Amino acid sequence: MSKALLVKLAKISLPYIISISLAFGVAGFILYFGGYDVVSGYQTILTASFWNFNSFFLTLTKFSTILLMSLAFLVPYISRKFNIGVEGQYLMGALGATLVGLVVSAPAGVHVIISILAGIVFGSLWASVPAFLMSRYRVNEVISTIMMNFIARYSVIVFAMSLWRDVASGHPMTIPISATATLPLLNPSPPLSSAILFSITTIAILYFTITFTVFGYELRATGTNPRAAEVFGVNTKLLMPLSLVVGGSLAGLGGALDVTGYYYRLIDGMQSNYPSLGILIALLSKGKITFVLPVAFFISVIDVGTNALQRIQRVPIELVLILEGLLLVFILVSESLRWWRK
Amino acid sequence: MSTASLDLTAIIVSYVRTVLIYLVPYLLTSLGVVISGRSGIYNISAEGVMLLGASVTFLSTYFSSGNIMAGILYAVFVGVLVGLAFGFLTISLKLNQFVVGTTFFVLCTGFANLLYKLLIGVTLTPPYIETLRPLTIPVLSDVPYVGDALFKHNLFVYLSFILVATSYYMLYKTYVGLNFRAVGENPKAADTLGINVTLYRYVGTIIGTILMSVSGSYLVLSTTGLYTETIVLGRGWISVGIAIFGRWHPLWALVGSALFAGVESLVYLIQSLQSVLGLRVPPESLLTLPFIATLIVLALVYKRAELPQAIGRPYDREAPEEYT
Repeated sequence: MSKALLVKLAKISLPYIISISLAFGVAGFILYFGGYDVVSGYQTILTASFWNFNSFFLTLTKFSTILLMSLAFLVPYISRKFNIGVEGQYLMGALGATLVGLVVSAPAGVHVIISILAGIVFGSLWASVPAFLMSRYRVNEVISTIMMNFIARYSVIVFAMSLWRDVASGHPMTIPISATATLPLLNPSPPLSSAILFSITTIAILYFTITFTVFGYELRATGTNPRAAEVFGVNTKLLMPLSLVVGGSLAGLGGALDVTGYYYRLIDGMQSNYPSLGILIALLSKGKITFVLPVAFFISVIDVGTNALQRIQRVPIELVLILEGLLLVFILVSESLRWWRK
Repeated sequence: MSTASLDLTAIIVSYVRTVLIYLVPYLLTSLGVVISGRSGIYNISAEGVMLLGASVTFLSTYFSSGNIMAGILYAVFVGVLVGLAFGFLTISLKLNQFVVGTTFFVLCTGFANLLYKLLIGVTLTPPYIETLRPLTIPVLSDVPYVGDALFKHNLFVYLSFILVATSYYMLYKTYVGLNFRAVGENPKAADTLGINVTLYRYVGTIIGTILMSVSGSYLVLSTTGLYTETIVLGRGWISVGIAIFGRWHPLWALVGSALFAGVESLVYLIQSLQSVLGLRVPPESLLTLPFIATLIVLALVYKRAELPQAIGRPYDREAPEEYT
């Protein structure tokens, strides 16, 4: 009995194990080709997050951001919409939070909440442009959200170089936001921001919404078969753009949390490669919200590991994107091959 | 008075010249997207493939001591490889084309920067390669103004115009082109008529990625001779927009490319004239213009936007009914 179960489990997990090994195999080849020490490279990538509290908290911080970014892609993806504009929405969320953090003055607890809310609003407004263009003018959301990314990137630079520019820095960034607009730390040193609590709460709320509410059900129905959903009275014309806006608010929240909890200012390029990582995480999770949590954590570990590897051996940071991209390709291939055999 | 008008002519001539220079990458990439799309494959990874083409061209030219031909050939080779992989996943394995496209965008971008960093590393002054020399057309280039604007360009500029004409002719005036479009419109009917859907789609995909990759080569070879991570800067994505705007038609792709090259050149023109005109606009705000233009243009054409009917949908001979 248990043996049969074990065999079944092995059969299910085998393609994933093969995919992970293949992706790491290619990464190892890249390391070898670049003249790096392959074995210690692997070791660093997989274990750097757990060397000390500092790097573990760093992993959690990145995990918190990446998690929100992949959710920002995942929610529209459930209704079959491709929100590649995660980056722009994140940046605008960061910009909104920074703006409130700089301009408004309010007591400590209130200020940070308004800042975060401003980030959510900015993110969803930024996503509502492509959502509007999609529902009114049938503009493909892949292209429009990408365009919004570029516009956001330049807007951040313009904003960061304007009134609140930090003149001490050569890189475009604003001066720090007021202390009242910052999130409290869970651990003072090494620092761990309470931002991660927001991320975890968000994913819990989302899981509940998608699984148990009418909105979630209709969203899933729209994604599975839009025609059928429409016939059964689901307002797909509203749900699809709405899911993009929800995605935008999630990415905006991510940006706002990074400003109020980590950077304390707006910095050009603060999005790093996280938008791409987040999108691939959502695709790796096949649109399943429960899968996002472990996958996002795994990718955060690899990202921190690759960063450490970059410092130690000067390995290009692109390795993490390639590793994740290949992982996705191999998993897609192995799954469709399995489907073939059936 | 006379000096002012002289300046204006010079500005117009140099503007038209710049438009033609910046038209090529849009044109090559959007042609790639169009041709691939006509066979039914929606390839949104253009931006990444362009960057990979640029990186490979730079590296192979640099390490073959300035052999531009080697650079282009390697870009073609990479285009074939990417096309084969893309085709295998989307045609043979029938995976979602947007998922594969997004993944390939990330992967190609990653590989492009990785290759450069591994082979060149981080340097204080970036290495550069010789750029393409202009090819003056004998008689025509002597025509005042027009000669300077139109007939003193590098080979790529002329070739890309020939390419538009060729692909238009091939797609719309030949039997092969008819088959090709049939595969993108109604693969089932095409299959019934004995057309090899898989083969046509592979060919379309590979031609597409070759064009995207070579478009990346052009970016490196045309003006700066440098490779940077921001060398493509959204041109790939805009080109996908041009393909949609141009209703997946080569001639309309030319119109769209001219439009966007016009906008981009305008940005550079305004930037260069800023001190003269006394404008004080942050340069980054001007750089958003092409992207805003894309959004506006795509919103404007929605009424007559058409897609090849089967684009984005894998063809499965055994699927009982086409569902939409």
